[in-house]
Amino acid sequence: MRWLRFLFQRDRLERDLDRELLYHLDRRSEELVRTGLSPDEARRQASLEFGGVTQTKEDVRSAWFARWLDDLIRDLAYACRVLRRSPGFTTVAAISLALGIGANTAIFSLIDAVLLRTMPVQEPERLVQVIKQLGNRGPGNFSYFLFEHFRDRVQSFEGLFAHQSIGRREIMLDREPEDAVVELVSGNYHSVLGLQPLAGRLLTGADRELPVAVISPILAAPLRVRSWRRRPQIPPQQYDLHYLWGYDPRIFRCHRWPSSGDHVPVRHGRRCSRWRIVARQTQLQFPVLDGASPAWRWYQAITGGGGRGVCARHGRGRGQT
Amino acid sequence: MEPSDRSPIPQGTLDMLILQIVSLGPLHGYGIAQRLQQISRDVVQVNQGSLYPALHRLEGRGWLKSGWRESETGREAKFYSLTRTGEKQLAVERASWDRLSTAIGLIFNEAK
Repeated sequence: MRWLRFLFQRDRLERDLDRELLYHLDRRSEELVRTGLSPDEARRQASLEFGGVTQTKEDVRSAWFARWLDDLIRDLAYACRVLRRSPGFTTVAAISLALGIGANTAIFSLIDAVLLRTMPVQEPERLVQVIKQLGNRGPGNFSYFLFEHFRDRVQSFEGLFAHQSIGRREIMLDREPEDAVVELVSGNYHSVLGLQPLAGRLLTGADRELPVAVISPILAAPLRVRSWRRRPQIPPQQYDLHYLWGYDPRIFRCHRWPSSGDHVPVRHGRRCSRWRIVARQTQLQFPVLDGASPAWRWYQAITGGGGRGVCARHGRGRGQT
Repeated sequence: MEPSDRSPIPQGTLDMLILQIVSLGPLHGYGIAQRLQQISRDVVQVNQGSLYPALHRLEGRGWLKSGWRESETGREAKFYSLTRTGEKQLAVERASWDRLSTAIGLIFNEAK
């Protein structure tokens, strides 16, 4: 099992190699200084004689890898020989593994469905997606005007919001570029989902004239959010935004909407369903949205929070008529 | 370019030379490089960097073992020493080298 140990001791091996090579270069430099060279010249000469520290490290790593592979192959061959010699044991082991993996998969599927894929919104079971069916061509996009028409006239929902994923974009957050998954949403997005901010304010219906964007930080932002978590006493007005909202990355992640493939936030666990604001409006540059009016965009889907007693099927039926 | 009077080390013999030097007593990489140069009286040219992949390869094969301890300067260094399998391997390599060099000597002498 030496190959397994190698995997866990890689950092220590690298550190030891650095120390070992440094010792060599230092000793050679000291010796050259004693022959009359200046320390700088001695160091240069020692490096020259050594012949490339980076290359040497690469060669040593290759030696490690060869050894690792050799050990692994030897262990596998040994395991195969042992298993072939006792077919009864092999069969029992294989069946135990199959049952174990199967049971684990079943339990995880259940937990995934019940806990992990539950959306971090109020009453997620009452959310209904309205789909525009275009004959056999599948679901089509909604114009903003059609969305407004439904929002104002359809009685079956407590509210309707429009959303459209525009994919990964680089945005400037506090003058630093961030990779983010961006979604355009109508101004009532948060109110229909029933979400509360930890500080500042979320979108309201009054924001409907703004090109609103909901951004899920995916790469660098988690660090930022963590550092803010250590400072919980942020004055709310300092983080009052109009159109940048971030998710707590430990809890939210971008996820495919079950029926349409749109990006919506989904929580990892039940710990928190509140949203956290992650940047000041003044420090946000978002070139994608410059000059774009939401009224002229087409939305992939509109979603409604069903009123009490209105089931999903009922809501969808009434929306189409 | 002037031809160097130091020959590059014959391929495949570095491992054997390292085993031989370490068989005289535990030594760190720098010490092995120094000893190699002293013993070969500056005739054999060894790129010092190439010593380390060889040391790690020999350790991987179980012919050498290593440990950190204080060197002659008071600083900690990684010392290599020969294992029992390493001793056997050295004996095998030495015998094989003797056979080969005798055979080559015979061929040269006959050609005269």
